[in-house]
Amino acid sequence: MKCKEYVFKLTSGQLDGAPLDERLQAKLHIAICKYCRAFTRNDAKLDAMLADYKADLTRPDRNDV
Amino acid sequence: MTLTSDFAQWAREWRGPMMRFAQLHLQPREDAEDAVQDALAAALSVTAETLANVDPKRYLFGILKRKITDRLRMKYRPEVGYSDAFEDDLDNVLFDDRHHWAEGVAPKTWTTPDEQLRTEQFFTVVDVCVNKLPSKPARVFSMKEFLDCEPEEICATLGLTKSDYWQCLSRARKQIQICLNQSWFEGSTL
Repeated sequence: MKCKEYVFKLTSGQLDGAPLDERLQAKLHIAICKYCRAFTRNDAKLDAMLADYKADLTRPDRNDV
Repeated sequence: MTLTSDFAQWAREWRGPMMRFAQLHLQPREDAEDAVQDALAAALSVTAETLANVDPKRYLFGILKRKITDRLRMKYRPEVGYSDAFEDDLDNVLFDDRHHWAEGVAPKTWTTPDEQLRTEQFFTVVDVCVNKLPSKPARVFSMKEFLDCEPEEICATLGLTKSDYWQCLSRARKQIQICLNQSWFEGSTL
C-alpha cells in the first residue's frame, strides 16, 4: 500500500469496516511512513475539531445571523 | 407561561443557530430560511408535556435535519455523475508519480494545544476551510459530519454511488486538513 491509497482509504472511511488483511496493510504502511502517521493523527483530531465547530455554530448566544 | 409563549421563546432562542446550521447545507439563504421555517412550523405540533420535558436543541435540530435532507433530496436527486467534482484533482498536488507524498506538502503532526482550537479565531478558520470545499464534496461532507447521516442515506439523497461517496468524502477531508495546515498550523494567514 502506498501513501495515496492509504490516505484515500482513511479519509473515505473505508478502513473502518475493511477486511483484516487490508487493515493490516494499512497498519504496516503507517508503521513505516511518518508522513501518513502524521496525517492519520491530524485526521483523528479533525473529528474533535469539527464537533467543537458544530457546537459553536449552534450556540444560541451567537448573534451573527 | 402558555404553550404558545413557551414555544415563541424557543423560536427566538434557537432560530439563529438553526439558520447557521441550515446555511451549511442549503444555498441560497432563502432555502435555508424556508427549511428553518418548515422545521419551526412542524415543531409547533409539540404537546405541553413534551415541551416541558424535551431538550429543545435536540428536538428542534432533529426536525431541522429531516427538513434539510428532504430539500437536498428534492434538489439533487436527479443529478447524475459526480466525476466533475474532481476536475481539479487535489491528489496531483499531494502525491508524486510514485504515489508518495509530494515534496513540500507532506504533513506534520498538529501540536497546537487543544484550548487554542476552541477559540472564535480558530472556528473562523474552520469556517473558511469548510466553505472553500467544492460544492459536491461539500454536500457529502456536511451531511456526514454535521447532519450525522449514514452513508446509505447520503447516497440515496444525493443520487450517488458508493464510489462517488468515498471520493467526495476523501476529497473533503484531505482538503480541509491541507487548508487548516496552511491557514492555522503553519502560521500563515488566510
